[in-house]
Amino acid sequence: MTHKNELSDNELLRQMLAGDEEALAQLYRRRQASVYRFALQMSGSKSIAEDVTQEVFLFLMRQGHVFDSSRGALSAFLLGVARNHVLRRLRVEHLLSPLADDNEDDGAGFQAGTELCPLEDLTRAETIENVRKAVLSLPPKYREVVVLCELQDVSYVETAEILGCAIGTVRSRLHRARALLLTKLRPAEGVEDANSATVKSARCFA
Amino acid sequence: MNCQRFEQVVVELARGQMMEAEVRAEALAHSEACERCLARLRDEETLTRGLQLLAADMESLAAPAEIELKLREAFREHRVVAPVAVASSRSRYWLVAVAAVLLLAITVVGLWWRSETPQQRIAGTTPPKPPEVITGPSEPSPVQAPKEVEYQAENQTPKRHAPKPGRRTVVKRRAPEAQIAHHTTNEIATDFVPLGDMNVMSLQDGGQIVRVKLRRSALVRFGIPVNMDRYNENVKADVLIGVDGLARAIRFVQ
Repeated sequence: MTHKNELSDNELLRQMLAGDEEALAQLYRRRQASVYRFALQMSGSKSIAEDVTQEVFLFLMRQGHVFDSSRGALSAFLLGVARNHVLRRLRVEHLLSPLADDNEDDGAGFQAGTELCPLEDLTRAETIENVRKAVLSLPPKYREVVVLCELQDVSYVETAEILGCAIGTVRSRLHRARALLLTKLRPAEGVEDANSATVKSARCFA
Repeated sequence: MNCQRFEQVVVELARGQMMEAEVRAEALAHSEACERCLARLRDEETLTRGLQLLAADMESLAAPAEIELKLREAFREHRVVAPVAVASSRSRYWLVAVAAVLLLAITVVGLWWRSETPQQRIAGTTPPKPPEVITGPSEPSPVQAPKEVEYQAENQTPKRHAPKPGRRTVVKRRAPEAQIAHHTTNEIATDFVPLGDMNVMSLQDGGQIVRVKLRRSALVRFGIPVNMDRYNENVKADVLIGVDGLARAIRFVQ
């Protein structure tokens, strides 16, 4: 008998739609993290990310038959659904404007443990925090490209599928988004080489 | 490679994307020669590393475990609900089928009802009502032309005779003989009295019998005694109209 974890996403989806709960569980465990992270990186809110993750898989349970494997991978499909839910939530909650410093979920999702020494840990945390804020302050159409291509490591092709646009559009938006990020991170000191960031402490991205 | 061309590839260069080896070498050579482009490349590389740090920091993040439990619960409910939904859809189909049968039955009855003659429809439903024919002048005219007579169908009802726009209506009118024959069962009538110069033999030529109402005073003309107290009342009479359209004979009905 084939184990669930050896099955492809498409096969798991088929079994799930046929009523197999274990197929749902396996598919969820395999794909929930990327959906959750995408929602968190786009919204900066853990509560929104949790809601969106749940809504995405509820959608898959109820409307999974609309997925067409000939048009792309299931992972891209899920991220596309997540994107729609995130944008809807952001519109509703008026969070599209640049984030304030006192965001309720400020830094909540970025507290993974590190093995660095306290000074390096502080520098690294500051760098991450600054980059996180800069990403969240981007307009949504640039933010989603950065999140997908840079943070989720999704290819240009898949990003284009998720966003429903041409690859050239993805590439140009990414260039523009990176230029905006550099502008946002530069004002105080200017961007320096990250190799020296751990040594020169918090000057980078300050 | 110039600075403009370098700007086009600097992001891919800093992100370590796949690119042609020749272009990569040219870009790196240009950055060594151009201080501004070198600074540009360093900025992009620093940004890339910052984003990688953020991505690595978030790599271990995942949705809380309770979401999976909620989804499983929803999945079970969805799976349980599904057969109910099927059952309800089946019952809906049954309702539709029953409604269709009823509609068909009503249509058949309606068609049958329309195909029935008025006499058949009325039989056993409404008491027969004799046709009333009102003459124009109140005085009887022995040689009254048929065109002066207005028919009032006996079984007319306002609903049946109010044709809907755009709908073809078929008015079925019984022959006067049939009407009279139908209603004479409870009536007493005199013999036909020839009118004018008509003789009894001419009554056998055939014609049409029309039920009319006359003033009771008209009975005097035919030698029938009249109660003067009821002088102004109407009496019923059948007028026999010949094929030439002239009134040939009359009889009185009670």
